Amino acid sequence: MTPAQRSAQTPAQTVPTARRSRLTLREIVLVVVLGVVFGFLYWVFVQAWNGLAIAMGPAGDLAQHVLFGSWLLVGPIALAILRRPGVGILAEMLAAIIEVVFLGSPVGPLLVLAAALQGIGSELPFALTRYRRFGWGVFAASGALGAGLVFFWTAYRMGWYGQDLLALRLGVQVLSGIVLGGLAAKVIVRALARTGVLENFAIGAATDSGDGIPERRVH
Amino acid sequence: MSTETGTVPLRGHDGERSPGLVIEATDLEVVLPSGDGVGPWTGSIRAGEQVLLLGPSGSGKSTLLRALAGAIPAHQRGRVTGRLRVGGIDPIAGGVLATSAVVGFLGQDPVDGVCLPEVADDVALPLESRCTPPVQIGGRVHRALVEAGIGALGDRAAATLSGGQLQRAGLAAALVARPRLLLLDEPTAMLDAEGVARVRAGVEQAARTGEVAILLVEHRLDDWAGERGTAGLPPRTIALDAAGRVLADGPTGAVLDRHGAALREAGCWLPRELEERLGGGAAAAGPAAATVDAAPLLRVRRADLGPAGRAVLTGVDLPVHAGQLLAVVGRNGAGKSTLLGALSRLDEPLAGVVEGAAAGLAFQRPEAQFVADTVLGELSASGADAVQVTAMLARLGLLEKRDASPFTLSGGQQRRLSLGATLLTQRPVLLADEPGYGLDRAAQGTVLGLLREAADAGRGVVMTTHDLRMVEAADAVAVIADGRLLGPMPPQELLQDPALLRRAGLLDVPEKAATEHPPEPSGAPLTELRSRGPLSRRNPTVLLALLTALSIVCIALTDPLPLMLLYVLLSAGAMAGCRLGPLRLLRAQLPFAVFASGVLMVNVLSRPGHEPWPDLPIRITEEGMVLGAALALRALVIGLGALIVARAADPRRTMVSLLQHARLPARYAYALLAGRRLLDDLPRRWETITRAHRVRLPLTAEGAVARLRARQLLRCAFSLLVDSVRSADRISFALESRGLGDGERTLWRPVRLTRADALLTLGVALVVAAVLMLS
Repeated sequence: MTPAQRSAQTPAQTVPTARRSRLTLREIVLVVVLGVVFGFLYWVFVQAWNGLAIAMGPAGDLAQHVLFGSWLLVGPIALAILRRPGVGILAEMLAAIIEVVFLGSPVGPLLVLAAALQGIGSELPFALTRYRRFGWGVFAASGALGAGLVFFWTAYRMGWYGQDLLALRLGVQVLSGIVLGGLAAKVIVRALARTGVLENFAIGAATDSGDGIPERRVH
Repeated sequence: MSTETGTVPLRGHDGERSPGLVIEATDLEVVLPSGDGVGPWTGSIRAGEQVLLLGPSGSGKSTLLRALAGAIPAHQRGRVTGRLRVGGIDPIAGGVLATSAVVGFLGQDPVDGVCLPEVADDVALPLESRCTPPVQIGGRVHRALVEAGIGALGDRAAATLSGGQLQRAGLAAALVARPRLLLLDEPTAMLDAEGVARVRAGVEQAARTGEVAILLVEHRLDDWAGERGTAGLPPRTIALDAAGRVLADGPTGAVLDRHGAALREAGCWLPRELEERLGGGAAAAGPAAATVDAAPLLRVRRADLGPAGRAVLTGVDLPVHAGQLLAVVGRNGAGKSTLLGALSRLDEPLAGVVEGAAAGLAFQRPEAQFVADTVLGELSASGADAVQVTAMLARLGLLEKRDASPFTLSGGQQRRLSLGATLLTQRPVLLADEPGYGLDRAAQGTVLGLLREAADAGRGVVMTTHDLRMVEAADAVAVIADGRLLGPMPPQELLQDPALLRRAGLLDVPEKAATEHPPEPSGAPLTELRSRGPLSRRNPTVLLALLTALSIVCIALTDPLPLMLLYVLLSAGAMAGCRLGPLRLLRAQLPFAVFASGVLMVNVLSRPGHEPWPDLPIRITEEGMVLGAALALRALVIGLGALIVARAADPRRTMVSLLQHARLPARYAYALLAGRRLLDDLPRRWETITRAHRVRLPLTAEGAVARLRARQLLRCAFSLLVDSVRSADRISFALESRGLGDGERTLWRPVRLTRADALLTLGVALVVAAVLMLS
């Protein structure tokens, strides 16, 4: 039976929930847009941050760990909205491409590699729940792993091994990941869901009771 | 055009298709999760037919259009029953991509009209998606732009176009692949009369072939019809009732005659001549016999207004009186918002004075201004007590919605809420930017009622508009034209002066006399490309690959000397290859330098090792200095390399090149380019949102508008996020309706990989190798 004939006989259902292998264009665009908006907002808030870093002098290098978690946000947010495997890694990598190509990141193209590591860390806890649970604990674990995994790569790249501060750096970064890169993502996703703009993504279908679409019009 | 649709995957499933029918619907019904919907509709639309879809807000006009375009359920959750064919394709099963082979779509927000950074690329996208040979694309893009009336704008950046120009570019993209059906969803909602006429001319040009069927949803029937009155409307009308059921379908004149009264009752706009025949006056109570008190609440005296150094309006004199409803009219971009900015004290006048208390201001897009999680919180945020808030909720008809998020309200409810919140601030003057735009008759009547009530209660009310009916309902009207403010004058005086109406953008200007909006100076991409030096002509994928390789080399180096050499050579390369002067080069690296010095200091102080000066109170080690210098230089080299690539590789060429040479899938490449277009627009949106939030803060002790604190800035960031997620929906719909999928496609303007790129690669490799060997 062709798709055309099938839809003529049975009502077309809502967005299919079965695991599709490819992402739809809507999902790709959402992930890109999240990368763009957060890239822009970082830029807005970094204006203030740069001043602070200069004022802190040598401590500026350390202070980067305090805010590190905020760089992770895009991954768990995209995962919680789209609930599809690989979306967390993809979101981080696309955000990195946006930064390198459109915003000119001083880290250069290797940022994409760091982003992939962050994405893997952020995504792991969600993958372990098979993308079914989105509680505070999963988000916290996501933030911790997102910040922790990439730390060892950055430590190599920045020559932190051999400094006295290695353990301090790791501790601060993981803590920041949990708060700013995990729990904050959950807060943002919840607030976004309340506004109704996520209604047509997987999270919208999941939060409806049952099918969510009435058989007949009620108005 | 049947040869064009030959590449479409889903077609020809039904042999019983009648020739010449573009839309065939049998019992088509759409139910949305909210319980709203449209249908059942059984009917058809023939090739070349033009149809007006009429109905009050909430009757499902847009829902029907989106279903026809394949967006339900593919993009928007909903239950679609019945049978539908558009050009032989089933949009319900096929989705937007399959339906795009036969459908062109234009929505109401000009920002969405063009979704790629350059206009011509956006118009070329549907052709590339259909594998049109690249040699033909340029000509067809140009022809489409000429037919839309913007032939000269092809190589412009979308960010530099006016609203009317963007809508015409969107029309060109919708028509370039010669669809069988053109869907127009309020295409003129945000344009002045001239913009409406230009978009309409483009649509007429397309209709002239007699091949494309057109389905139009439009509130502004008089502006659309122009001077021909009802005869200027599409000859056939399908009317929906408030519940989304088909009320009538037939010749426009007959439908309006028979059902005009019922449609108006339901809240629908009708053509003016019909309204006059039906009688009953304007949508809202007409102007009261306002008695103008002696002392105005707010007064602008001999003021020049505009951003620093560029006066948009000069010599403005305007009193705002208690009890008066004052309309301000003018073309798009004439300076209406500039005036409101001064009256609300967001902006200081460049010269002259603004006397009186700062006015409250309700922005055109209520969503830009929401500060709370609930409707109730939104009203409480204005500082009013619980009794006043509850009374206002009742007055706005939003009692049931008190705990809902303001973002979930309908357009009309959002407008009411934002006006209510502004009214509760108790400021003596209330400003409303385009309070009636996009609303149906009933909702606009409610909004006008609120404004009139405020005036009757002794406040001064100023509203901007490009709607003649709003002007008629005002007590006085001021016209902004050619950098001056004329009036205030009685509305009748303006309405009887066609020349002034034209200058105010309320009447269409004949094409010959029309003054095009002057292009803004920023971002002329093609000329800029040449001035960016020889590296900008190199393949961006090659540049990115070179930078990646260089980064890897740098990370392997722990000796400052070769890094220093690389940094010097790279600086020379930046100056020669990107035409960057030494000063600009240094300034651009300032943030990297700050970071690098931090890295150096931390290493010097925190790395154990040999201490050359053990007597110092702090520990400084040799190992720390050497490695710190290397790490700092590493950051500088990679940062400078990133700077060079970012400057040399323009976004379009980068994405096209990654698509060609790095196998980035087309959907990702164009999604990223659309993201770039959004990024260009974000600073403007951010400014609007932060201004909208600032006017909601209590005034400072000196009566000035307060600054936003960190918490409020986070609120603004959230508003921007919500706005952008909505944009994501529209961008993906636009891209898919331009045929963007995973299938085969052609590339109109490929980026070449040349011998020069090979030479550059070889040269860089040799230089780096030499540096490594020398040191």
